[in-house]
Amino acid sequence: MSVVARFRRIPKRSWQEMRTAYLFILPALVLYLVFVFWPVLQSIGISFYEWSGLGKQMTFIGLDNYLTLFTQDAVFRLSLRNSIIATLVLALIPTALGLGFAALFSNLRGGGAYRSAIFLPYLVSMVAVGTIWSWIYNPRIDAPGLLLKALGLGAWTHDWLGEQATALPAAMVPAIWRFTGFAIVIFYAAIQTIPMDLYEAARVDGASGWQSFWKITLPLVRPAMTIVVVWMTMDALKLFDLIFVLTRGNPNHATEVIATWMFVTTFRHYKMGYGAAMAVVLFLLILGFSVIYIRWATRGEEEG
Amino acid sequence: MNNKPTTRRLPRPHLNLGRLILEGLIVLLCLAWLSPFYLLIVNTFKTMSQITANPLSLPKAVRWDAYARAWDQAHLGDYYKNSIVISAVSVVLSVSFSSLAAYAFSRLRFVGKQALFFFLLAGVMLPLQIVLIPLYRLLNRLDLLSTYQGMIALYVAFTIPFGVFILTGFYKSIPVEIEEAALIDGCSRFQSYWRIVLPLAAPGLVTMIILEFIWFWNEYLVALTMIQKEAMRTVMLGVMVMANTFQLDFSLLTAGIIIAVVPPILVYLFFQKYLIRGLTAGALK
Repeated sequence: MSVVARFRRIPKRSWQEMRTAYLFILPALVLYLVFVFWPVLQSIGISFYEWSGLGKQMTFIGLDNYLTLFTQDAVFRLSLRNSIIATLVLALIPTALGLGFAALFSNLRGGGAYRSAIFLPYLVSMVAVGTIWSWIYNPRIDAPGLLLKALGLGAWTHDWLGEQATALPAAMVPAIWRFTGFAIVIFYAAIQTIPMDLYEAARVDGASGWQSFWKITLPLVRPAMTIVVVWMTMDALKLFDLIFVLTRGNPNHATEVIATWMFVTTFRHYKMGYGAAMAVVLFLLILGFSVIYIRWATRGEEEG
Repeated sequence: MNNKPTTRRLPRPHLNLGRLILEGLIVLLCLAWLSPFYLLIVNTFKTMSQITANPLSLPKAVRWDAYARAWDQAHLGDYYKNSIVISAVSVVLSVSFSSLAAYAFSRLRFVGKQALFFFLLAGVMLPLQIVLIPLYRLLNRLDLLSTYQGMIALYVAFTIPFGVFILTGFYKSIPVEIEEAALIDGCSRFQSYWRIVLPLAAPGLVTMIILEFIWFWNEYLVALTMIQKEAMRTVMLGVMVMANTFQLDFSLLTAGIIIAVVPPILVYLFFQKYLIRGLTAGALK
């Protein structure tokens, strides 16, 4: 049915309802169009230009920015690699920890309090988390080193953030600490909705705690798991604040991620077109990862 | 605890050794998890030489002056004011606009409803990076860089997709029948929204207010890009400044960080139920 035909068939009273509806939506829609939708289109446009952002001179260069990104910019390729590593690590470890802790805690009387303890870091902003951990890693404090010495492993101490090989793993620890807080809240709530009878029936049938986790908890928290993994993936790909305050991408770009490199190129080196191209690649990555995971998760549901 | 369905009653625990050990290990785990906070707090009470000698030790005396000095030297008073103004106004506008739109999406019939809903919803997925450059240029042209108005406009626009999504779900759960009598008696749609639906939706609105306040308070990338004047910095920009300026006295750094991160934690302590509900609302539908 064409739009015109649809409008013709609408009775007079409904016209009034429609006018009301559009008025209700108007403020939200206008803000969204001006500050979100239109800038997205502009960014895509800018990514085809060479532009310093300072003057008016913009040179159309087609896909050159994208070609340079993938063929000549070694730092970008490194940051892409690091972002993908970070995404895999942060989609996997906080999800696993959050689910494990939630399953463990929800059988205990004080479960809510334990959950709150693990959740607390999530309330702290990523900038503050980065600042806290850069202080913890600071050679003058070096809490990990003190811990290792206390365990008799003093020989294992490193300048964790300063060395090329350990910098990225060391930078992941604070992110895991914070993201697990989100995962545990979601899983804890999901487990609360599973009827206790299921577990009792399983126990009567002689199932161990481990078996009821695999056979009851895990399948029933699957929708929650999809959300957690998608959310973590998006947050990990966008990761900026933590790296920016923790290492600024150092040493020698070993912790550079797409978002930090995009920020530096755009607002420190004044290469706006090039930065916009990076932002577009970042968006496509987020879209790609989310679609792949949601497809994979729902296909599993159909089979099961 | 909250959100406890009737089907879920934990069996009475019988005291046995295995269980006791398990609970002990879990308490240890939680303490280890919170140890960075312990490190922050104890070192606000020490001098720099005490801190570098042993950051793990308990303080010899409780001296609160680091908090006062960090507050003054890092201009945290100004930054607090900026963060509170920007967060508070953004929350009010964002929740109002999202709520109006959500009412239309949950209650009214109009052409293009589904398409518009998904169009707005797509915004949830967008990384901020993709709008940063054009918005920097726009605010620059309008002379709105480093202003409350500029920050508020962006913050409100960025949270509308999520707000509309969550609140539409809330409004759908309120029965339509409650409104029908009022509409037959000649109430306008807006009156019915304002007098009947809004009060019933109060828990949902409180949830949104809390989630968005925490998001605005903690936001960093937009503030870093759009705020260039020192006097207009938010608290999170202040944290980054403190990380550089307080390298010679860690008691100021730790005290400053604590001052900066306390508001969201307080909000959680007072409104735990609403916050948890908000975080899980999107996930567990």
